Amino acid sequence: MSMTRDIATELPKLAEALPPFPAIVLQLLDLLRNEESSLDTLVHMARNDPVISGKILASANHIRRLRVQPDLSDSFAAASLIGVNRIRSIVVTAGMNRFLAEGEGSSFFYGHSLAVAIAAQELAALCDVSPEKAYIAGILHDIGQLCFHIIDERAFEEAYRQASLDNRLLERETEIFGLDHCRIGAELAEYWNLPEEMLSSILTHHEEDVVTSKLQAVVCLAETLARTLDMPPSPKNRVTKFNALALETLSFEWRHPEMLDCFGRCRARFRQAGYSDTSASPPAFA
Amino acid sequence: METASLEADCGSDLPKPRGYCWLPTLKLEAGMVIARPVVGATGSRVTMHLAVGGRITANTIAQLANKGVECVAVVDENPPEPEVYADIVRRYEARLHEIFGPEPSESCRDLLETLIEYGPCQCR
Repeated sequence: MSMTRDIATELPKLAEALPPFPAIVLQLLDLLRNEESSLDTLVHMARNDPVISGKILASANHIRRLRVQPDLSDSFAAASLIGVNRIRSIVVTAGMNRFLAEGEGSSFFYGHSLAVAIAAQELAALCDVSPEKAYIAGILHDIGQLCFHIIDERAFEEAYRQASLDNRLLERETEIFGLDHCRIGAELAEYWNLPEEMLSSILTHHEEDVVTSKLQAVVCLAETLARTLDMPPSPKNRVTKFNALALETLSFEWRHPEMLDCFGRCRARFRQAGYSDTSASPPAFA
Repeated sequence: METASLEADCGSDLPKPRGYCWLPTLKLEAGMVIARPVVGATGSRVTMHLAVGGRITANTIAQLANKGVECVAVVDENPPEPEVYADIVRRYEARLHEIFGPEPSESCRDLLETLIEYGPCQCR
């Protein structure tokens, strides 16, 4: 096809067209590699980011108001009140959601990326995978599609439309762009110096019978779960296959009570993010 | 309290609601009853455990927010009428069959059947 192009060589330009990858999330990933992040280190990181430190204060003051106590304005006092886990979660969700919101993709792209991030974080909580890493990998799993939006939105939308009929999205992307969204996403992850397991999660999230790490297995299943739970509701949600090896690797069973509760938690958190009750939505599924 | 005991008894052959739903912590209200155990942690240390059957208070909501618990299962004290619920289930299953297509693979079938058995959420 004449439109085929060598996207890989254009990667630096593409990366410039995307929102900057949040440095604070990279710092957190570094901390997670070595040890449990201490409160002091996290607060020092967060203080350099006005949005994140504002969210930490807001979270602490929400608790203070419930106790009828005056608001705090000191980051360390606020951080001590809400604890390390909550701060880590704020850094990751606020950092990554801001990254997502600054891009130029379709509304389905945003909703789907968020849904996969939430599902990945919930699944990670059921096995020994870092929930923060799972959330980041979930947000980024389709980042290659954001590149295609930038390069040629119309061609990509047409490929996606046709793929909904024949389930050949990756092949169609390769025909048009020279590589599929998994590969260009992985190239970007490498460009951003993300950890190897995150890179491979992006690269292989559509694989049916490949497991490269527990994180990748979690992202594969989160992709399936987001679509089966219809988050966000869309005709684009189709599940004709999924990575059964990922399920086996994580020793998950769909019928396990913890997994059933995981469905409900994913749905509740997605609603919390403002994705519920649209007029076009089917009934709220658990 | 086991999940089964939370199910409302609708009688007849109509599907039964599960009897509880998951709500974001910020949508919790004092007086709601906890339907699934809640565990809050700081690092690897468990610092909060709320048992099934307990009533939520304003203080509980503050503690949940404090521990970063984002959602809680609460008893649905006003379940829909059986006929209304049966209609919700019909639409839910129809949508699932659209998502999985006419001939789901064997591995997908297990997930589909699980979701059908689990049923829709009635959170409002």
